[in-house]
Order: sequence, then C-alpha cells, then structure tokens
Amino acid sequence: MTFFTACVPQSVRPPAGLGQRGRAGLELLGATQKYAASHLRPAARAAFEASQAGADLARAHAQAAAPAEMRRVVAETTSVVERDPVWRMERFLQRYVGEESFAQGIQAVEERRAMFAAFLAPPAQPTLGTLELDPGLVPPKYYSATEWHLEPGSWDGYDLYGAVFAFGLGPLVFKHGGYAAVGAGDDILQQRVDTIRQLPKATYGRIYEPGCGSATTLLTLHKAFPQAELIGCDLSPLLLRMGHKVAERQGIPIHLKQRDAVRCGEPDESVDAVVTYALHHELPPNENMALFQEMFRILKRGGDIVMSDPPPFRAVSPFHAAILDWDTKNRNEPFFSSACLSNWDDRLREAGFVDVQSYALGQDGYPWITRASKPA
Amino acid sequence: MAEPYLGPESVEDLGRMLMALLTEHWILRDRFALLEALMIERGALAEGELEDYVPGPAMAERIQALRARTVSAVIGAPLAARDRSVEAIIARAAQRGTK
Repeated sequence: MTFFTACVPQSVRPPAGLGQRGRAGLELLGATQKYAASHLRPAARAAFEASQAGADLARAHAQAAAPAEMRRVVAETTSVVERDPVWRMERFLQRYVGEESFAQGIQAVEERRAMFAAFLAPPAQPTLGTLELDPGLVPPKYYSATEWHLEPGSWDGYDLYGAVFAFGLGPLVFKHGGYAAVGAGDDILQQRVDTIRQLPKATYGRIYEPGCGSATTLLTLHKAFPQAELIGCDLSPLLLRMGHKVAERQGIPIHLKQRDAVRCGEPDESVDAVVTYALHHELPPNENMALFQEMFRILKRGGDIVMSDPPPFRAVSPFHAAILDWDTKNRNEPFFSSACLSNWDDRLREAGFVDVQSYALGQDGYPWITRASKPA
Repeated sequence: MAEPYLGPESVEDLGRMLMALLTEHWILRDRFALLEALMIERGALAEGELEDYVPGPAMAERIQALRARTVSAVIGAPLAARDRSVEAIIARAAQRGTK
C-alpha cells in the first residue's frame, strides 16, 4: 500500500487531510501498537526464554529438520506463551489495533468523503505510463475467500481505501512498526530501499514486480534505477488505480496491469529483474511455485530475482516463530505459516534459478531476502 | 445486588470497552492541547499560563467538588449498584452536587 506518497495537488486545496478526531484516534492506535510491541512483547519473550519450557523448545527448534517437526515446535511454543497474561495482553492489543485501524480509518475518511474522492479521482486519460484494468478477470479462489489483514471487504472493499492508507494507516499506525513481521521501530520505507539494494547489478533495463499493489516498491525502484522501465501487476483494481495516480503525481511513468501474477502475460525473456515485496506469504504454496516458474519464464538469461518476505521459522527464535504464526489465524493471513515453513531457496532451484542466497536484513529476520539469478 | 452478569467470558469485551474509552479520552486530551496552542497563538492565553494557574478560593472549591463527584461516580459505582433505593440515589446525587 502507498503510505507516504499522498502528494496532494494544488487542485484539492485546502490540503487533504484527516480531521482532528480521525487523526488523534489513529495516532492513539499507533502509539498503542508501538508500546505493546516494544514493551509488552519483550517482557513476554524474556519470561519465556528464562523458563525451562523455553530452553527445551529452543533446543527442539534448533533440531527441527522437517516442516512437520517445526510446526509441532511452534504449536507447543504457542501453548506455553499463551499461559502468560503479558503475552495475551500484547496479542489482544495487536488484534484490537488491527481491527480498529480500519474501523477508525474508514470513518475518518468518510467524514471528508468529497475531499478524498476528489483526491483519488482518476484523470480522464493516464498521462504517464499505462494502466490496463480487466473487469472480466476472475480472481483465484484463495484471493476472494479472505478479508486480508482484517481489512473489511478486502483490498477493494471500500472505494476510498487509498486515502485510508495514505493519510491514516500508513503515517499514523504502520509507521511505528511492531505488527506482523515488522519489528517495533522499523522504518518500513527504508526496508523497501534496503530490499532493492539487494539487486546485484548497477543498472537494469526492465524491472517487473508481481503483486505490486499500489506501486510503493515500483516507485522506490525508480529512485534506485531511474532509467529502468517499470512494470507491475496485481489483482486489485483499486490498488492499481491508486498506485498509478500517485506515480503520475510524482512524474514517474509506470506500467500497471490487472493480472494474476502466475499468468502475467509478459513475453518470454522480456525483463531484466524481478522484485517481490511482502507477496509470498499471501499465496498458497502451489501458487508460489507457479509464480517462480512464471518469473523464470519472463526473466532474460542472466536476469535477477530479489524477494522480500517474512522470515522462515527456522531463521528466528521459537518465541518469534509463535509471533509470526499468530498472524495466520488472527490477522487473516491464511498462508503465513505455510510460507514460514517453506524453503524458497529449494523452490527457486527447482524452478531453474541458480546462485540462490537467503538472509535477513533486520531484527528478527525481517525483511528476509531470497535472491537468485536465471542462468546466463 | 442482582446476580452477577459479567463472568470471565466478559473480560474480552471489557478490554475492548477500555480501549475505546482510552481512544475517546485521548481524542479529548488532544483537542485540549490544540485549543491551548491556538489560544496562545491568538493571544488569549500566555505561554505556560495554564500550567502556572493557581485557582482562587472560589475556583478551588468548584474544582474540588468536580473532582469529588467524578471520583465518587467511578469508584463508587459498585456501591451504587448495591443500593438502588430512591433515597440512596437522591443522597448520592446531593453529595456529588449538580455541576
């Protein structure tokens, strides 16, 4: 989602923005999440790691080889930490903020509907780049079956979600980190910059992002590779419209298409690099494999892929694995745990990629980078 | 008092009500901060004047009555639930004052 790139034009002066009630309410949620993640969570973690059960599970975690074994360790860790009222309070507040962010954000934007509708109104014709929407596209069942991230109606459920994120949730709640895999105090914009820096070459001609959402990563790619042609696809027309609009406001040409990333429609060997950001934990395992094969197809020989996603359970402590696992049932992320149990390195090799590497850039394994190349 | 209505299963709901209350409290507190800043900006209040203000005897008495009323209403709520006679209700209101 586009967080800080509201880029309000002169035509909608006075400046677009939330009213006092909406702003203050969302700021309170951001402060609550920040406090819970940076004070309650470490206290629960310390108590767990000081316990005999914590020590036993740390050993079991280090020795867990197969996904089934790791799943058992995470489940047992969860049953231990759930006995701690501090853990329960921190998780209650995570869920509360997760839900209320949307409840308050939608109300805050709705109070100023005319202003935000004007802000989001698309131009008659795109003036930069292209925007191809497909009203006949039937999304895959897994996509339509979930209200992702507790977002009412999911990505396209409210016509002014672009404003909810750009003016509300992004700058007032998510900015502080401390949710899902994002650590407390993490700078989520800098994390995108750091991810893009993992591309090994100095220049690229054409860069592709599957599941580009509202183009935040593509816009960040432009800053690092100003000469590159940028193309992205997503299933959500709302996100694509928002992303294209913000790109135009910033004077950046991007080409966005409403497509299923596993059938993206790009020609064989047509792009020099692929970047994915926070995508794979939102796909079922078989769709991820299909995606890797599709990205291998469209990459030119010698092309590079860089993926950023939450870390695998094996790369973090058992306590943090329980934190990540919680999102599966409690933040409407049905494939979160299966992604954390997967081995993308192996899957990329199976798809034909070489020089596969994976590593963490930040605290508690996030962002987790997996990068590889298509053989030259 | 009547049978207890809230059991352990109501803790979650109480938690949500508490958070909603915190939000409402904060919105009000934020608004006060803005009001104070605007008043200072427009010369209706001097910087630090609110912080340094010492209420005179009449104001101090009003504030004390307000404070006692608020404390009584909140901390006294369990007692109020236990005696709901008309006399007790009127007596409590009289004790708290009308402002």
